[in-house]
Amino acid sequence: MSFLLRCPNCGERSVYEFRFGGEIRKRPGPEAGYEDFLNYALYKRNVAGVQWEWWFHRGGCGEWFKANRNTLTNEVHETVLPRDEEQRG
Amino acid sequence: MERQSPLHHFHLEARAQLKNFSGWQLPAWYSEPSSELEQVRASAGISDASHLAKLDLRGPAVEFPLPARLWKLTPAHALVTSPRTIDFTPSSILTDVTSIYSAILLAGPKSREVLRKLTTLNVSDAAMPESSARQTRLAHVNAIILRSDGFLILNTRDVAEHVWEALLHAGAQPFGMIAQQQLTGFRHEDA
Amino acid sequence: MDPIQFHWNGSTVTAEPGDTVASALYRSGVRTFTYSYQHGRPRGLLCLTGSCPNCMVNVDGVPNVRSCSLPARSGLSILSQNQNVYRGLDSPAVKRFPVAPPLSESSHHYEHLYLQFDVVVVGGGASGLEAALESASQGKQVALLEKEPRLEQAVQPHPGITIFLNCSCFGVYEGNLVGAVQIDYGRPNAETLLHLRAGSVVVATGAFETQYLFANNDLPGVMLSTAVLRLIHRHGIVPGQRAVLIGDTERCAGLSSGLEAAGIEVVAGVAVESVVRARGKDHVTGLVTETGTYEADLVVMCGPLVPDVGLAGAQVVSLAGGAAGEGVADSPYVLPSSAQSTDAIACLCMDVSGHDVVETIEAGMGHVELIKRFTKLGKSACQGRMCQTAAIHLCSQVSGQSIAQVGKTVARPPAPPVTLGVLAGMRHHPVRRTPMHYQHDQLGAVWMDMGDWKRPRYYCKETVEGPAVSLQDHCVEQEYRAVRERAGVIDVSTLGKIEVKGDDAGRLLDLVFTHNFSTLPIGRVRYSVLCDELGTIVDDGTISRMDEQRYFLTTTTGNVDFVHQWLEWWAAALGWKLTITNLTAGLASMNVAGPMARGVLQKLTDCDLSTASFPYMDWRQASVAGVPATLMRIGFVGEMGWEIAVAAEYGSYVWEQVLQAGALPFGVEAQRVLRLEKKHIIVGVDTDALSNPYEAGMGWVAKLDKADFIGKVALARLKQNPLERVLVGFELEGTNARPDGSPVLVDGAPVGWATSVRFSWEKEKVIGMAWVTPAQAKGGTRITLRADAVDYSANVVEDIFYDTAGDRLKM
Repeated sequence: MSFLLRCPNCGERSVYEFRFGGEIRKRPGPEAGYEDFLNYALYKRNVAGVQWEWWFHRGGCGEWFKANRNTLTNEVHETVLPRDEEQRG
Repeated sequence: MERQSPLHHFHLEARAQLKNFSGWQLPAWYSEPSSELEQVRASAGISDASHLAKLDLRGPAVEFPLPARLWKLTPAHALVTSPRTIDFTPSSILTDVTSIYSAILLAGPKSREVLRKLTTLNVSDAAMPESSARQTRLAHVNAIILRSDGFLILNTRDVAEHVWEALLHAGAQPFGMIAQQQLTGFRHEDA
Repeated sequence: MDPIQFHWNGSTVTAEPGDTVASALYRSGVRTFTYSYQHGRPRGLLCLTGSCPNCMVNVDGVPNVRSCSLPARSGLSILSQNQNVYRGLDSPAVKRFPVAPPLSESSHHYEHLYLQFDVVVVGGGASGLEAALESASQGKQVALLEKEPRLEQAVQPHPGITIFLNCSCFGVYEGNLVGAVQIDYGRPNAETLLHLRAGSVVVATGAFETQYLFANNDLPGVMLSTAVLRLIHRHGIVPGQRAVLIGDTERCAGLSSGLEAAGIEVVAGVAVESVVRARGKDHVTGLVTETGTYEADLVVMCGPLVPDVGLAGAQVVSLAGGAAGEGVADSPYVLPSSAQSTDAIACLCMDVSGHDVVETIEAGMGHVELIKRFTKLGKSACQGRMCQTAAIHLCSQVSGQSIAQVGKTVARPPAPPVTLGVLAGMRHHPVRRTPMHYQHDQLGAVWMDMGDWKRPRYYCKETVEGPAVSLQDHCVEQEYRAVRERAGVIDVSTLGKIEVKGDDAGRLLDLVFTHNFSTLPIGRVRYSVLCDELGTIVDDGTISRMDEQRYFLTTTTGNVDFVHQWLEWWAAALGWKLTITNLTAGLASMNVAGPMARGVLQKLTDCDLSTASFPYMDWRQASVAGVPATLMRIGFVGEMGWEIAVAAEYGSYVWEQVLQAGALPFGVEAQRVLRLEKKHIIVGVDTDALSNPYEAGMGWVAKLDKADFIGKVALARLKQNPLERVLVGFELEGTNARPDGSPVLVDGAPVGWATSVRFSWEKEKVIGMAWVTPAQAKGGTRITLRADAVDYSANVVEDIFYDTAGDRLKM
C-alpha cells in the first residue's frame, strides 16, 4: 500500500504520513436511544467502494480532514477540511 | 543563567568552543570558523540554531517587525521565527513555542542531497522555493522545514540529537555560530 | 594494472577486466557452480541474465548472490553453496568444499534515497532510451534505470534525463512508487534503496529467455542461447567445442552461424519434441534424441522469450520493446515426452521435476496455483522464470485443459528479490531524550525504554555485598526510602503536556473527560479520566485551569499523541474554536516528593509552600532557582510533593539545583513501588483495552449528571450492570517471588491476571494488583497466581497498603 493522499493543506503526500480515522458517521445526540448508540459505537458500514472517511495528517500539518476514497482501488477523489466543507454548504 | 540547547552534549563531546549568544550557550566554532565556512560553501553543513525565538500563530497572518519572519504553514497556521526575542501579547491564537522546537540550519550546495536521504518531501527548487515552509517527516520524526539561506529544520526538542545524528550520517558536517552568522548575516550581541 | 584476484572455495582465481564473478570462474574452468537445493544435483551456468538460481554463491558471508551480475573485484571471498544437501555426509563431493560461514551481523552500508520524477523508465536498452528521450524532449524530468554497469548504446548527457547505472528495479507499487537498488561497486558492501515517485512509469526491461523441459535438462553444459552468446561476445569465452542446438529451425539457424564463427562445431539442430535426455554425470557429454545420439560438450537451448513484466505487479504502466512483446514469437511451447520424467527439472530452485508436476495434476490439483502450492514450483529465487511456462504447458497437456484454464500465477514485486537489509536502511531509530538525560547518565542511571523515550529505571553507582539482595533491589530500596523518609526527585518530562485554549476550551474538556472542567476554578488541578464511546479507560491525567480560557493537561507518556489527536478530532468535527498545543518537549518537569520536600523546595523559591497557602491540588507560578516555573501540588507516590515545570532549556540547571537542595534522584522502578502501595493505577499496565472505571474501582470519576461526554451512555448502562471482573489489591504469603503479569487461576483455569507485583518495604512482603472475579473481590479471599509452573497463594486486600487516611499528601 503506497498510494498518495492530497492533504488540503500540504498537497500530495505518501499515505504513511497520515492516520486513518474511520468512516464518517453521525454521532447520535444524548437523547437518542441505546440501540442508536450501539449502532453508532459498534457497527460500521464497511463499504466496498466509495466512502467518506476521516484522515489525520500526523506527519504534516496535524489537521483532520475528510476524504472520498474508493476502498477497493485506493483512488482518492476528493479531500476537504471540515471548516471548508461548512462554507460549501 | 544561560539557556542550554538540546544539542549541548554533542557540542561538549565535539570539544566546541562554547560561548553566550543572546542568552544561549552555543558553539562559536568546532575547529575554526573560516574553514567551517569554507566547508559549508563547498558541500553541506549543519549548525545549531536553537536560540531562534519561535511563535505559533493560529489565525490570519499578522505583521511582525524585522528581523522576525513569518512562515505560512497552512492558510490558518503560521510560524514566526526571529534571532531576537519577539515582542508579543499571548492570546488564544498566539503561543510561544521557542522551547518546544530545536532548530538546525542545513546549508551548502549539497544540502538537497543530504535531505533526499532522509525525507520523501520534494525539496527541489521548484517544489520548495525560497521562503517556503513544509511540515513533513524527516529521519522518521516530524519536522518543519523552512527554506531560507539553506534549510532550517525544526523538530521537537526531544528528538534534536537523533535528527542531528541522521544529518551527520547523511553527509553534513557541523559548523559553529561564527560561520552561521556569516551565512545568515545576523550578528548576536553577546559573542 | 594489478590483476583482479579473488578466492573461490579457498583457491585463487584471476579475472580479466570486465569479468563478472561467474565469467571469471567459468574462464578458470569451473563448471559446477552449485548443487541443487533438494537433491544435490550439480548445476552450472544457464542464463547469465539473473533469471535462474544456478550461479548463486556466497560472497563475503552474504548468501545467494548471483555471480553473473557481480563484477569481479579483488579480495572477494566466494564460496559455493548447498554442497552438503542430501548427498550423504560421507560423499566425496562434500569434502571437496569448505562449509559456508553462518550469517553474521552485516557490515553493509545501506542508504535510502527519496526522489521524484515526471517519468521513470526501467531499462536502458534501445526502447527504454527511446522512451526517455521522447519524454525529456517534452520538458519532463526523466529517470532512466539500468541494471548493467553501462548502457548498450552511448548517449549524450541530457539535462532532463538522470541515468542510474548498476541500478536494478524490483517493483512498481501503488501511486507509481518505483523501488530500485543501486549498488556502488567502488565501495565494499554499499547499496542504496531508491524510492522514486513517478508521474508515469515505462517498463522497458525486455524479455527473458526460458528453458525447455527434458530429462537432465539441468546438467552443467546445457545452457540458454543468451548465456552462450554473452560468454562469447561480452567475455571472449568459447563455452565448448561441439554443440547441439535445441529449438525451432529458424532460431537455431540464426544462432548456428554465430557459434561456428566463434569456433564451435555445431553438430546438430534438433526439434524439442524429439529430445530424450542430456547425457553426462557432472557435465553434459551428449544429447540423446529419438533419431540418434550426438556427442557434444555444449547443448544450447534456443528457448522462448517471455516479457519481463513481473515487477509491475498490478500497477498500470507503459510497456516498451521486448517487455511489450516486441520480437517475442507467438509459437507454441513444445514438450517432449521426457518432460514427464523424474530427471526433467521444471523448477530448478526447488528441484521440482516434470514427474512431480504430473503426479500433482493426477492427484486432482490441475491449476497452476495449486501446483505451485503443492510442489513449491515457482516459489523461490527465480520467481517462476525458468519453470512457469513449462509447468503451465505440461499441466495443459496432461489435464487436457486449455492454457487459459490452467491459469497463470500472479506476478508481484519484488522481482527480482531484494534484501531486507537494504529495505531497512541504516539502523537509526529515533531516540527521545529529556533535557536532563546526560545528568541521569552521570548519576549512574540504568536506562529503560518507554516507546522511543529513555527513562532511568533506577540509579546505581555502587556494588553491593551479599548474595541475597540483587543490585537493582538495593538501589531501588535506597530511592524508595529517600522518598518515604526524606525527599526524592524524579524526571517526569516524558509525560504528555498539552495546552488547550480558546472560547470552547472548557466545553471540549467537558466533552472528552469524565469530570467537569468549565467549572474548575482558576488555580486548581483536577485528576480525570478520558474514556471512549464504550466507556473504556483510554488515558488519565491532571487538568489545571490556568485562566478563563486556558487549560494545561498532563497525559501518560505513551498517550500524548493519541490524546492530542482525539482533542483535535472533536474540535474539527464540531467546528469549535480553540488552539491545542503539544508542549511536552518544551517543558522540563520534575516531581519532588517526600516528608521533607517542602524544606528542599523552599530553599529554591520565595513561593509560600505552606498548606494554608498552597493546598493539595493547587498550582502556582513562581520563580524556582531563579527560573520562571509552574508548581503543581499533586502526588502519585503518596507523599507531600510538587511538580516543577520549567522551559526545557533551563531543565538541566534547575534539576541540578534541586539535587543540591537535598533531593535524591529516584527512577521509574521506585516510583512504581511507591504508587503501588497507594493502589494508584497506571493506564495500560493495570488496565487493558476493555477496562471501564467501575470494574477498576474508579466509578467515582464518571460524572453522569453531566449533559453529555464521550462514554456517558455506555457508563450509565455499565453502572447498572453487575461487574464481570474487579481490580483488587493483594498480598503474597511466604515468598519474595514477584509473579508480575501472571494469571489468576480458579480450578486451574485463568480468570484474571496480576497487573503489577512488587516487593513493598512498607509491608515487608510482596504486594500487587490483580483482576479477579467479583466473587473473589472480598478482603481476605485467597487467590492463586501461577508463574513458571509454580503456584503462589495470595490474599485479597481491600485497603490501600500505605497511609490509608491520605494524610501524608496533604501535610
